[in-house]
Amino acid sequence: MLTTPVIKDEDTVFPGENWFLYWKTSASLWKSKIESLRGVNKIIIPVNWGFHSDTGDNVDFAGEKPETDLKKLVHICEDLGKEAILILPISPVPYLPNGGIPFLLARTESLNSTMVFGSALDADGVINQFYSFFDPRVYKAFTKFTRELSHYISQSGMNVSLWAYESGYFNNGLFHSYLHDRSSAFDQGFTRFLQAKKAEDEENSEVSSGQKEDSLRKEYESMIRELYLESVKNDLGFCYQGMKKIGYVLGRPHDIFISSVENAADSRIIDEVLMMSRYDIIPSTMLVPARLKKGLINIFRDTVLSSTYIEETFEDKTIQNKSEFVFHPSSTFSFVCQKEDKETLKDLTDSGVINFVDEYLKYDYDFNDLSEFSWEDELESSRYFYYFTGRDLDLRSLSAALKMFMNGLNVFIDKKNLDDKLLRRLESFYIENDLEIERIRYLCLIETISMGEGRLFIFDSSEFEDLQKDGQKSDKKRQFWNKVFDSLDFKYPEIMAEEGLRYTWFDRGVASSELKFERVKRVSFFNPTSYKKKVKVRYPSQFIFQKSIDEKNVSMNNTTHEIELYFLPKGSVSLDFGVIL
Amino acid sequence: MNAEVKTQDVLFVLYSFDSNKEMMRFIDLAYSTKGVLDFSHVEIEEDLTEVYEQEGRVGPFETEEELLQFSYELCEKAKLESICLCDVDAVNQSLKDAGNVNKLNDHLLEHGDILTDPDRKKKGLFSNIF
Repeated sequence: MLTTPVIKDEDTVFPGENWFLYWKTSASLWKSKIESLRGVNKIIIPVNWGFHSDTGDNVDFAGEKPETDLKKLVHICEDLGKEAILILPISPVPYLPNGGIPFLLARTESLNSTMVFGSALDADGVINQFYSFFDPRVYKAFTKFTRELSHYISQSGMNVSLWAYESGYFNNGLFHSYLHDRSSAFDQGFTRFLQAKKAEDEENSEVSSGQKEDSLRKEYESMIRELYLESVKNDLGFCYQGMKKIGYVLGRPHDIFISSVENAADSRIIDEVLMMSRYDIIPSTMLVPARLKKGLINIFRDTVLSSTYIEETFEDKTIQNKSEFVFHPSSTFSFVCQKEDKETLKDLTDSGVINFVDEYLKYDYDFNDLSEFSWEDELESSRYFYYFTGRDLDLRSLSAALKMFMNGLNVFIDKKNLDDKLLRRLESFYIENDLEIERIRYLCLIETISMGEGRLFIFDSSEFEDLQKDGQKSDKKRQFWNKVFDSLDFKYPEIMAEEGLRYTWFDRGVASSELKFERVKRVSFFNPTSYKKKVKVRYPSQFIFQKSIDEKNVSMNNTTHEIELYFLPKGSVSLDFGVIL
Repeated sequence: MNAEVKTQDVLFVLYSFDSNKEMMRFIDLAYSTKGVLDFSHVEIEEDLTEVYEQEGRVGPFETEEELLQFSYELCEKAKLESICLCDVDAVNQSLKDAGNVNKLNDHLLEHGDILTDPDRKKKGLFSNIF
């Protein structure tokens, strides 16, 4: 018997993470659709530029198409007790034709670094090709659009907040923006940029003539990104909240070809989401086909990409609404660095710390961008360790690191590539504060200083380069970090998981009935494989096992300080621990 | 599209030139309907493995001949009958024409260079060289 496949409308208009694609359904159905969303307080509305403007010149807000009536949409959300959040792209987006720009502006194809057309595959298997945001016509039309949008929002009396966002994908520890482009439009602009640089260079000798073309290309790209962002800030400043990076699962250029022959494994989807969330990139599963968003992936999304997580991500900066009693992604260890710099990533890899943390504190760490880092905010944070890379430190951030230590936090500083002036500043800090330094030599000179609860740990990983045999190098670095953590008297659960299992950590503050604990930590396990899997959790006495929740296809054996979990394929479970520090 | 070639018998090899590396050729992706060819599980020279681990691509290949020879070896290992060798132009044209992922490989077959019967071709190739 022939059957017609049923396309689930909610997958189309609600692709996940609280997003509502208003142009994919009739305006007359908006209310009933949004009403059907349970447990969601904030509706994320991506503004579809190309839907409001065919040419880039004329802009439609409820003039012709009823589905362009953003005012009506925002009011429906308000009437239903939900907050509407507008998000506006400043780069190509992978889920819209032409990357989201008006179709008459789709003239110069965007090219990636291998000169292949910038493109992505949406959840329905459609290949969306990107067009250059470096085309002056696109920029000009964008500024016109932001002006019109600003006028429309202010005239219609909408009470709405707006975020700018840049789209991209995550690969090998780095975010790759879809803005990145090597098209003729980029080249033409870049040539003018170089000429201006050259003229500036003649007037100002500070610009090094030896600057590499690659870094200049990056500089030009950043400059154009800033221009788009400035347009949003200037025109929509009254409702502008900030800029976010959104990373799309299955959004790598190769995924188009790979998807032509195989379905993405659950483990791949889980890994991408977990990695992005560690790098402060908002994961989006919008490109994941609806047929893959089922079973374990749905459980995983509900756990990791919960409505609460998304809502807090788009929280108004003036409101401190983050609930202490709700689980948030946990980060016991935080890397504070230029997280998108390949050289920084190399320093972290060479020091062995990234491998160690990835094993020892798996998915209980994060990356903070040094430029946006505020040490005062960390005093109330549940993070336990902070790691600074010498390469990225300047006087301000070094002072911040030292203040954190003085305020009782645990701080690591790798002196590799640290500026000489800062080295002297560090030495004068020891003297000025009459600090007692403990010096140990193990693979390199390690200086540790204790003050109250704080611990400062300074070393120079460039000494690791002297290690001879490559085979021993990673073992020795592991030993180094093992010794360091042993010396810190830091107790943490040991998780022995069979290959293929995935897990991640969350934490929350304590309620009045749990005052004997400092924090409550949750570890959520997922078995994305088609095999039975086992995991053993050995936890220290500082961790008190409270309960297991959301058990699915799993059995558990709990003995003193040890829990064994036996997963069937696609099984999952979360374990809660009260933590006494 | 070459009517004789069936998609399931083909190893698709997508390659590009690197302008920063003297226009050397690199294989960016190789796959068949059986799945993506994982170079970390294929016995290849140490130099190539190193590049793959660092950059996620395989190369460099100085000449078209080197690239072809390597592709033939891959094809043999994958037990496939044909290679569809796609440079950037073929990939771009296919992306543009396909519109939907279901048609993508048909378009690659149309725009790429199809080399059938690796054994025979390899003999021909070597007889041309020597």
